[in-house]
Amino acid sequence: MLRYFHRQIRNLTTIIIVVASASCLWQLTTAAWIQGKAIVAQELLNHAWKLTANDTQIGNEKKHRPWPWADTWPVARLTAPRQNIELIVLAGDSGSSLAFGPGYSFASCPPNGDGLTMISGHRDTHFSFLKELKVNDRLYLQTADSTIQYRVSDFQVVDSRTFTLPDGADENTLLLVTCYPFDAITPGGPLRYLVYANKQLI
Amino acid sequence: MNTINNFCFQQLKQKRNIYRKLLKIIHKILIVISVYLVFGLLFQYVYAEEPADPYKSQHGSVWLLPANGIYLEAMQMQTDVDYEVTGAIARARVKQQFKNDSAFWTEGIYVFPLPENAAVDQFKMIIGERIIEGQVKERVEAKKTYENAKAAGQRTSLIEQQRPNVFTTSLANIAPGETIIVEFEYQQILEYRDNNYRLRYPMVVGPRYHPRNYHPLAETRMTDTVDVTSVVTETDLSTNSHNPTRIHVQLDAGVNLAELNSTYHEIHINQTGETRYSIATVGENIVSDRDFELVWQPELADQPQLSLFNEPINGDNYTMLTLLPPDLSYLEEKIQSRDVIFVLDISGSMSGTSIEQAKASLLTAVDGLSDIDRFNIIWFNEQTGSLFPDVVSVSAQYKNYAKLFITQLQANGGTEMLPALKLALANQEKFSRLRQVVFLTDGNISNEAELFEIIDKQLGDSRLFTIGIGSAPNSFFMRKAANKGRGTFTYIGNLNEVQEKTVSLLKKLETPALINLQLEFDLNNHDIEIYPEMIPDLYAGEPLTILFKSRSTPQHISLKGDYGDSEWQTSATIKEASQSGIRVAWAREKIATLMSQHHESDAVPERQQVKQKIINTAVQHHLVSRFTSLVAVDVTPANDSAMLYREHLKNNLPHGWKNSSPAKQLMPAPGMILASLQLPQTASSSRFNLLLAIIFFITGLLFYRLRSTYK
Repeated sequence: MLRYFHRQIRNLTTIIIVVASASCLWQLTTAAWIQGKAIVAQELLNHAWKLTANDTQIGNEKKHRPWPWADTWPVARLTAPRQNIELIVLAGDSGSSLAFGPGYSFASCPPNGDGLTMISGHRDTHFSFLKELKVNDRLYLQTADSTIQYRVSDFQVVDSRTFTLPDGADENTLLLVTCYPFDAITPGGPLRYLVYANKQLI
Repeated sequence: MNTINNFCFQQLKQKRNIYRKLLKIIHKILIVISVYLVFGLLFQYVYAEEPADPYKSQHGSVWLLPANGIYLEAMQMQTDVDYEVTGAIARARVKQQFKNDSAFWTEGIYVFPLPENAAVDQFKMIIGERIIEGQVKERVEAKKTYENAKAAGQRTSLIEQQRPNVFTTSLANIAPGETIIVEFEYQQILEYRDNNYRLRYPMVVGPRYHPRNYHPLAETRMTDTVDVTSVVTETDLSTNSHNPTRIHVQLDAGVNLAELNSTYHEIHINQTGETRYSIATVGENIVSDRDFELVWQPELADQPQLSLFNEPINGDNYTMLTLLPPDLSYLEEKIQSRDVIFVLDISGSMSGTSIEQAKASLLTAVDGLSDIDRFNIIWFNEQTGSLFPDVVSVSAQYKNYAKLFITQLQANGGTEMLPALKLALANQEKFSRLRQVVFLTDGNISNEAELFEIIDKQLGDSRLFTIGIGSAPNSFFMRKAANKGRGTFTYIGNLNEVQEKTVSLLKKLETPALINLQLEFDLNNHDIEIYPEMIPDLYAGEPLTILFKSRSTPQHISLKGDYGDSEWQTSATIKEASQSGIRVAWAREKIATLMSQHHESDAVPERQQVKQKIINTAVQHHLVSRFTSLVAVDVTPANDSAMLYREHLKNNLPHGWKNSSPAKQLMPAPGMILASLQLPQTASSSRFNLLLAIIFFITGLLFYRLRSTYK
């Protein structure tokens, strides 16, 4: 009787172990997939970016998609020298482009240093370096035909549901956006971490 | 040999022991980590509760700001609203009394919604015998004036526009126990819908939150040591469930009324003249858990009715022209058959909630088509296709087919909008049917100029309506496209609004009464400044208001348009009597037009120029706008202990809490603009996945051990 009971428990635990290991693997794969996509995409993007830059040099403006079915294309390269970060910025900040790299918002000015440019990125992949930025850190935004230097001027934590730009922020500013808090486990929170950087004359 | 064996065995045993210990330690560490993570997760959910935020309060409440950026809601004492309504213009004087119930000098912030097209032009702060009038200044300058006065211990007050329909008042240096009266006046052009004029005074108090990080200890350095917790009790939420209000309306409808009603409150009506009424709410005060809404219905004719109002001021002449649509029952025989072409963006950027919203809107739209219409659906990503080769007549069968088609659409691929736009505007049969193109997209595009060019060239008699989908649509593109396409732009921010907004847009589109309107004057055209600049179409149930400024009084005005299949024309002459408020209405409309331009200009110098124009107009006509505020300063210093006071007030609003707007307020009125820059979702679930992986791993491990004990 006791033996039968023990066997039943063993069977049950076996099932639980199998399910748990499978789920563990599945979750690990998902996490690795997200992180991996972020890393691999930047390589493909680098390639597309080089093509774009070359084309512009010979006076031929063209969008190069990093892979044929992509709904985005590289528009700039963002460099943070102190943090040793180099990222390709994509067009659009929809979820489908943010998975591959930081995205420039179409609602803001194009990344040419003429107005406010907003670039967003995931806090757990590309834009995790934002928390290391300090006031006066330099940032470079390189477009196909120019490089603009910015200096970090301010930080802000805002509620995305009620956010509007402060007065005077709309002139020659680079606004970097990522989710906040940085080490939150679940996505989808309302808070955002903003980095304001002002254009510098070189 | 034996010893060696023994030694080996010993070593092996030792090694195994070490392994076992190591495993145990790892096991413990993992358990600790998982417990920490699970609790951290719970903690996040439990404490995701919102702190008190005055900018989230939906209606008139004063927030005292004693220290550390913590808000307390003060009791609102009494509100009196006086309306004067003449024709379609309503002027309101709102008087609100507030009392500083706390025991310290304080600063208050007052948030209140007003109708979208409200023009605030008068503002007074009344403290005891003292009346301080507000002055219009450029926003930044007004803020500076306010801050300086506040620092100097003077009583001061500032009124600012946050959104087209949300205003804030700040009051500084209010003495303990002091009562302040805030009195402001605004003017609005009344909403006219379903043959009714509606006068609405917003009163609903929005959701309220308990101050989470409220620390009584933080306030022990106040000018007077009091039991601060009592303040919280006094401003208990229960006292706020009542917002005692009295409303009084003087109504001169100008035409005979078919009906006059209050939607939610009991009222007294007194007829004081042929078209004049005096209306008051019953009782001393009304309990305000709903907006006050007064509805009246003018008698409609079988033809569009044109009325003119005129106000000459300082050598300039301001005219308002209102075109009332005809009664629907007359119109139905003349109803226009339409071709409706839906264009749906199914590119990758739409994936997620955006495509779900778009599909829901489209399903609602297809459902609402009537049998005399024809329709088609065009989709695009990097390719373009259409459901039917050309428009088809609406039938139950085609509708079902279309719905089935919509349901299975999925978003991926690039965005090539040009071919889709060309296809939507192609094949126009001249003068036969009205062609409405409804464009659903997030505007994730880079070739705006090319698209605008196509709209300019190929629009013909079509009308282009854009529906912006998702959290951050390219509203610059969509608004401008709708303007060029002689249609409107609708923004849908979340799934709950899909039904409501789609239905109201489609209902409007169903019954166009007059299109291709043209205005003719007996005046020199150079002297005339007219808003809106391009005359929109007249739709049933929605009157058309045109405002213009001219040097001399026009005697004769005529309007021409297409009415069904026939041409329509009417004319009117200006009556002798002048009406006040036309100038303010004109200035408000001019600012609205300029705000559109401000939003549409993408070069900084151009934007600066438009901004300056807005400031000039607002200052000249004494109006609060996005760039101008009203500020009042009582020059007599009031707060002698200013040093102490300032110290506690150095924490202003928490950063970022600059505004109040649940997504539904983002829907702009025609011609209105919001400087909205929505922040996207910027975290993936990778960490959460990792956490789950660890939890599953530990579960597996635990059960593995459990299993081994049942051998």
